[in-house]
Amino acid sequence: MAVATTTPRRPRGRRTQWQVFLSALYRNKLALFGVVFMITLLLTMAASPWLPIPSPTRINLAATFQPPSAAHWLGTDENGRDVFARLLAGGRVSIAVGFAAALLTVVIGSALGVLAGYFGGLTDRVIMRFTDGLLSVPVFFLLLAVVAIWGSSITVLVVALGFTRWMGPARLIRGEILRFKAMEYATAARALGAGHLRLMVRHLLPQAMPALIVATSIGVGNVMLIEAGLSFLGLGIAPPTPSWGNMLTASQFYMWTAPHLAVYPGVMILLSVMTFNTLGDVLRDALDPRLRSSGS
Amino acid sequence: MVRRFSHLLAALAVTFALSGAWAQNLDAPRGGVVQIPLATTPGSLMPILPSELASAIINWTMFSPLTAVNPWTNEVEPYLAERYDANEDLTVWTFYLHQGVTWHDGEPLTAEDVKFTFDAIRDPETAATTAPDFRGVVDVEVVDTYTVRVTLEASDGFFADRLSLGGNEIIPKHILEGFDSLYDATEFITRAPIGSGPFKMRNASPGNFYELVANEDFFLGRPFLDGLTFRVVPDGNTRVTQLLTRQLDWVDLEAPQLPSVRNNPNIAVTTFDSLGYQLFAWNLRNPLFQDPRVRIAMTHAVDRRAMANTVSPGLGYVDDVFIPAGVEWVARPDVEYREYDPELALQILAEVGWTPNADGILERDGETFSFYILVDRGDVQREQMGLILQQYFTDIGMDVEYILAERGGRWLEETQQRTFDTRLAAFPLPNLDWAQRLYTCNGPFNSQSYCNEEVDRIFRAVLSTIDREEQSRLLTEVGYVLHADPPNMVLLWRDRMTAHAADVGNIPPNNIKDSMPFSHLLYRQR
Repeated sequence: MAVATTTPRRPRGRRTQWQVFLSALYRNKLALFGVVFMITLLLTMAASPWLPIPSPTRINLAATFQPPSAAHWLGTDENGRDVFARLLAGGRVSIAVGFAAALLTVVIGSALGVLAGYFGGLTDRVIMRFTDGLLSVPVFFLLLAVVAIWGSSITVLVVALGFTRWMGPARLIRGEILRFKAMEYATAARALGAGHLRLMVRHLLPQAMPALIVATSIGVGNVMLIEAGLSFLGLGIAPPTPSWGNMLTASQFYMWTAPHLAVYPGVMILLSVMTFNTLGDVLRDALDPRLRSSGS
Repeated sequence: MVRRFSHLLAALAVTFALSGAWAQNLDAPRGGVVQIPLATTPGSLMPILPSELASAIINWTMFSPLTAVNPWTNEVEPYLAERYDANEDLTVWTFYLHQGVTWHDGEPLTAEDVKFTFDAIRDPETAATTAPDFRGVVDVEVVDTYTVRVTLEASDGFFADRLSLGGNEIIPKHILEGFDSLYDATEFITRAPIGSGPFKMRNASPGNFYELVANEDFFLGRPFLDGLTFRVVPDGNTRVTQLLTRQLDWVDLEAPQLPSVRNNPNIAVTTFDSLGYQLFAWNLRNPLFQDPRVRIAMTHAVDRRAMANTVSPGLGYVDDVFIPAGVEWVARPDVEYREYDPELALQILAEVGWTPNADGILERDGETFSFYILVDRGDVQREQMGLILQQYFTDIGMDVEYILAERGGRWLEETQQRTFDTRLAAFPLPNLDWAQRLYTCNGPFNSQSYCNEEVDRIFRAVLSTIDREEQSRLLTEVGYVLHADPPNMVLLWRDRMTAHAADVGNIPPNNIKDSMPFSHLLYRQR
């Protein structure tokens, strides 16, 4: 028997989720600033091939440590490379690593979380004890070991970050699934003959989406911070590919003579991480009906 | 920025030259403590065991070698050995020890200790760093309480010089002979060593600090200082900051850190020839680089002077002589410097058959000119030079990858197994014997597999004489051969700097490590 589902009609006067999000964003000025910054950054990165900026890896020994000018908008670094171009290229790498690793984290975490929450019993115990076990390992040191063994490339970083940070989302999703699977609509779907997979994927997981989206947004910021930390220690993105982390590493040597070289990537990391974290707050406000109704 | 450094350094050099700052004050005040940084916790306080820079620094203050390099003159001098001599064909070396030397626990130091140490170094179980230097030792014999005779299988004019280079300091037989393996003496290795050097351990806190006090009975005279404190400070910028805040008294200084101590009346800067160079090494097992013309062409492809001025403004020089200018007794071969000339580089490569393909990449018989540069992480200069070299080689159509690897990991592994394509490294030549280690076919440090029969022949002649003039003539001759068939590309003969508290005296124009055998001369003004 086919189950007919219709989208509940929105009561008159109720706002769409998009409107709620925009309203929450407007209220959180820090997040609004962050979103404007991130959109500007992403647009500039997208437009960079058409902008009159030099190659981010082109070395020019005749023009090291240049101040800002028309040719070099933020000046040049110790190798005469254009700092603005490197910030954009580094941002592409840092943000891409952040998104890819956060997505991988969420995919692994939600798959295991759904399985544990839905089946319960032995499955739940095994998955959760495994999760607890991994949570007890200091992730940063685990990452250091992984990168030391397999070397540092973008792929290794994304996979390593994904596989060492899925435990948070897994616990979160498990909790959500436990809550939703006890609800009447889930019982109804089961009574109407929905199989395990359909129940999990079509009925339970979408309900946990708000929590997942929030976790992803905050995860992107956290992953970017870890990537910057690893690159700063020389174990993240390896030169000549620029990343904000390795730009910071290179600049620490010139702290006494050219401290601004550390300021640029430092500020970019700060703003980006702040953006994703505050965006997470806004999304939570917008997507969680309980928070919305309480007016928080 | 570059010009600012250059002027400042030139001014410093002139100041020191005029003031004769290298002279030692042998009538200095007594007392006080000097604090010196270590970048890592010393791996071993037993000098002959494999160790790193931090161990070498601290061990030289607690243990005595038979010979030592004077850090003011770079000449080898007798140290624990009052004097030494060799037979005519330089196969038997006899060392006469200072009499009345005692260990830090009061026991006498004798020829038995020297034999014990040398035998331990020769024992493969010890895996001593300097074991390769003892490969030619046939026998170590105690002649009497204060005389030791070492017999070699072949002439070796540098045997006594080599004992000065660290890792050959004498260790106490009476304490260590009871252990099956030296590695079992863990207390000795980590916190309670007994040596015969100018300072002895009072308080070791591995990972934090090591407090040493003056050895009142040191055979070269009681140290001027009452003590030395070594602090573990891994970060270079933190070390400079601690110098400014008087938590440290003597630190290595990199050019970009110079402005932080400039104009500070409490801090003095010393500039000196490091007698070592940064080099770009080709692996000559790789057919790509076997033709010397290819190596010469690649040398013309790089503006080495511009690169040196960028990575080390005003500190050091570049030339195509493989012996440091600081070793003044060796005459410099009159060879032409290979100027930056990419057109000439391409012309030479074309003669060898390498011409650009449709993509602009050099190609010969369907094979592209592709290789990677292996760079060890941690040395900022080399990291920077690797990137610059990559660009120069790419600019003439080579397909070059830059690989930054852990020094203790892939870099070392590929160096030892000789599997790298090309690599960056630094090589010290504190003593000319080291040249043969790098450039002879079977040299222990010849990881680039360089082999030139003529070079081997000349070095055999160098080792079979102790006549400095003859050695000088031969080394000049080697210079011409090496220029025609370059073993590596000289990137920078490094000048280095240290900064120290202005009230500390007798700071040699040398790096901290190599100054340590003479740490008893350091003093603190009242």
